[in-house]
Amino acid sequence: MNRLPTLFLGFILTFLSAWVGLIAVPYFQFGNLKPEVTEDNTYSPPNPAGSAIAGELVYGANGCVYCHTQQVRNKIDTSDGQYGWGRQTVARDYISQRRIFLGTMRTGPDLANTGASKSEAMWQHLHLYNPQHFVGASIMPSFRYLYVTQKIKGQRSAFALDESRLPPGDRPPAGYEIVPTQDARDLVAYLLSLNRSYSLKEVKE
Amino acid sequence: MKPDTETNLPVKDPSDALVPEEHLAEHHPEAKNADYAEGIDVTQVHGAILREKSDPHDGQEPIPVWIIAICLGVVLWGGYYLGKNTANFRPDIFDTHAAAIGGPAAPGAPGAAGDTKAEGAAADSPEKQLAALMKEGKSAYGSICASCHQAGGGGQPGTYPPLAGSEWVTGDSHVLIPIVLHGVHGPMTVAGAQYNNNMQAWGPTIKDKKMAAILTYIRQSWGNNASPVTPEEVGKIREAFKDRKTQWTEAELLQLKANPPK
Amino acid sequence: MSAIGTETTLGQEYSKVVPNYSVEDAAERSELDASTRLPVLLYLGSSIFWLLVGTAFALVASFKLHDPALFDNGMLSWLSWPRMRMAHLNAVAYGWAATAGVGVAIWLTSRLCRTTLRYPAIVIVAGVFWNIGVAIGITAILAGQSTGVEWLEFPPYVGAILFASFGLISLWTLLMFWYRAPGHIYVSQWYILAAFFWFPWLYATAYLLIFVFPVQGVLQPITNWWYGHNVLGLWFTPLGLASAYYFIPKVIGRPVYSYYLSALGFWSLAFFYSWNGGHHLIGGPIPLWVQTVSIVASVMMIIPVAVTAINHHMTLTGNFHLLLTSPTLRFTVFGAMCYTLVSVQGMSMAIPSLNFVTHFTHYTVGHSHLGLYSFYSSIMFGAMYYIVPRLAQCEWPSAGLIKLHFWCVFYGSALMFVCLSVAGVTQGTMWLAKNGDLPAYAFIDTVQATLPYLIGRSVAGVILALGHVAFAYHFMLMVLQMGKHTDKPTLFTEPTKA
Ligand code: HEC
Repeated sequence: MNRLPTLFLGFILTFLSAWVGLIAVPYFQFGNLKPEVTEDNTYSPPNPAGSAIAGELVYGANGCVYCHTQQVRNKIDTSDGQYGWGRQTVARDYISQRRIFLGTMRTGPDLANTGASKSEAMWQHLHLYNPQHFVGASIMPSFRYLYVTQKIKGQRSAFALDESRLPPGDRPPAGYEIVPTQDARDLVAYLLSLNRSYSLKEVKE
Repeated sequence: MKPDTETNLPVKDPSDALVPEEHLAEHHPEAKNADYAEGIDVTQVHGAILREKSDPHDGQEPIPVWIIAICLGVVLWGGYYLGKNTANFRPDIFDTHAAAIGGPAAPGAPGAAGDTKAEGAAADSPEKQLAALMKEGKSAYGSICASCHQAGGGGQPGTYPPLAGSEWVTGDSHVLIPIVLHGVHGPMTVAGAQYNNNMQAWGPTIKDKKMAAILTYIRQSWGNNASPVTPEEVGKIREAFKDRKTQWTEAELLQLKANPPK
Repeated sequence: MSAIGTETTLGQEYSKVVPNYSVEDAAERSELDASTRLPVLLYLGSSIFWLLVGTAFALVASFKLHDPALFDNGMLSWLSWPRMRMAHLNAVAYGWAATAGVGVAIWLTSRLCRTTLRYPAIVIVAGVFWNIGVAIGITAILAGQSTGVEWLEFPPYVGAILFASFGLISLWTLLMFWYRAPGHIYVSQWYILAAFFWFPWLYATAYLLIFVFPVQGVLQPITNWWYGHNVLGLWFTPLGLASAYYFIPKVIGRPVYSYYLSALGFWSLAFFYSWNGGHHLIGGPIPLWVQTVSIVASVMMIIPVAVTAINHHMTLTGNFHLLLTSPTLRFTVFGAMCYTLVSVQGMSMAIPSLNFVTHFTHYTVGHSHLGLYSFYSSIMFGAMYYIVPRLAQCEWPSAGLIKLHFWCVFYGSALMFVCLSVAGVTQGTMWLAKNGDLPAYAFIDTVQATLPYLIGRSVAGVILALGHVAFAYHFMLMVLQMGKHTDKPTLFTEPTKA
């Protein structure tokens, strides 16, 4: 092979084939899915509400995706169905999110439905603050840096953590409270929006 | 260009159009060395480069036949596997078991918002409605409840009570609905075993219709065989206890069983 | 031909024993190397800097994984595990591996095009901006601006900097080909040209479709993994192979076994590798056909891999004793062997029945280290052991340090691979185990079961770090002209007279 043009033609053709096959064709085939609308006008998947969208970015910036997937595989080949992570997920489940975190690692459990099975915002906050207090043997890092301990000014903040559910060592001194930063609140809103408890017609159960 | 006798490859002829600097460097390398490694004697500077073997070139051995055979074999296998596992390039099939679990019927245009509506309208008959409720219930159960009560409804011994064979589940719906709407805590006996734990209230996050679907599903699965629950029933109970903020205890529930809310 | 004292005498000595040797060639090489000196040392030096930085992040992340409260118990955002993990990947991928690869490729290009480095300013400016980009990107990750998209964590503005500097480098390669001495285009050059041409295309596609004009839903992960896989397959792998194809025959002084195998290997790699991306999403919410196409392409990789392995093996046969003496050859051959290993492993991991065991486990992490470290990085180390003496004009000061480096690389990466693979298989089989209707193990038990192996991985990390420090120190001595000034190479052992 001594001719540059021939070489380049080869480079282009090989690469282009995959670019077309794995990027362009999928784009035209399933790059514009619509939510399923049922007779009472509910959308599946629903549009995420409020700060859940901002939470996507917090989830990304703090690298949750390196330990948690958000995809449930079929129940015949895998045990995904047994850990209570919900039904198999399909392409349409992701159309309402801006940034998609399917993940490739399950150092921790799948989160595709964490907003369904851990639907209490306070639990999510407390667990982020001290994971080991809720799951003893967990190796999840604490995300304390998303929370601030501050002096109670007049009235307790409406968002303050319920310290009675934290171990004594984590409770703030009297007159102080632990409040989530905006990032933490966005993140929890996002986690609560992870909820695929609706059904879709292409999911066969 | 004269071909190298050993390899048949062309080698560079030193007299090929040399620019002046190249010429200088080739014939008087010491001139160059002087400014970048002053004081080091020439032998040492060039040791590494001098002792180098010539730049690599290609041998011309043919490709062994067995390699060609293996390549062909792999390509054949690839074609076979592709043919078998692409599901006609359909965008709505995600695993090889689609057929086994009753893959979607018509390959019709995927993703059109309209087709579900049509399906919904057709699903008028009570059986179809029940089937739709069960389907929704199953998927909601799987994502919400199964992480504790397990996909098979068996629970986890000592921690999470079973729903399969639980008298709370198959008993009166006016007791079951409040359990799930507001949660339970403290000791409770389920299917002959004691539990002492805590379940959050689901009322705030699960709407009446989905709640009805889940409850219908748990009342009619894994050998349970109790009446379906309707969204209206759930709505009524929600209304009756709309001021309740606390979880139930077993004692309260037993009382409730005896005195159904109006 | 003018005779210049000892130089020519030595050259004449060589020409008696080395086949195809010519003093003119040596003079030409000396001129080429003089022209690449500054840019290549800049690239290699900065790559080694990032290697150290990346190793430090890796150690913190590795220890924190089995000891989550270590250091700060979650109080410091920039020291949190996930940010360390992201900083590690980006420092080693874009800081170390890419920079080292470009440095080696620049040197190879000049050598193989047989032309002095033209327009050095382009390369230097691109290198400086590339390093600035990586530095900003890593700072941004630590500051909490990461995108969280694997392999594309740098915020988009950093992506733009990297793309621009890389564009310059690609352009420069083309210029070099413009000026090249006429003749055959050697296989290493195909790989380098291809890599320099594909990478910008790849990078631009990924950034545009994920951040600038985000595509819908699962198309993002498809694009993401198409990129993530190709960055290894069509960027690092070609650079690694280019280097192996040059240094193996170069050190032993005989031609590459077969041109035809080289060509088959190259074109099958180009064609099949680019389709592999979807195998990162097997079982996931992407249509079956996308998974299947990628699975088939992954298994097809047996062709380029086997062909390349045979080509290298046949080139080497009869010269295995040189592995005892030559650092370059030993690192390169170790890397090339790991290439075969990692590719065969990768193929097996794409087969669904095995994928359902190993997917989502530490096994995959072990696989990527086998690829980017044992294969690619070893080859880069090997290349540097060859190139640096020619640029710094002195010999490596200590054979002992090179030995230490090699054995750290060898045992460190082997231990890491074993630990992560066992951890992964443990996780995968525990998840699949059933006890009637229930999973046999609670999820948290499967987390606990991996802990001993994660600790083992940290030990491996310490070993690797030791090797890196030794290497960096050694490199520094070379740059500071504190190497040995002799015409003898620094070898593991003295060659036995054949
Ligand atoms: C976080 C774990 C968890 C989740 C999720 C959960 N439960 Fe429970 N559930 C419990 C626990 C624990 C108890 C027993 C509480 C006690 O001991 O007082 C319980 C008790 C019950 C009971 C009464 C006892 C029995 O077994 O019949 C019912 C009915 C029930 N849950 C239904 C549900 C339904 C329906 C869902 C999904 C909407 C659900 N649970 C989700 C933990 C959970």
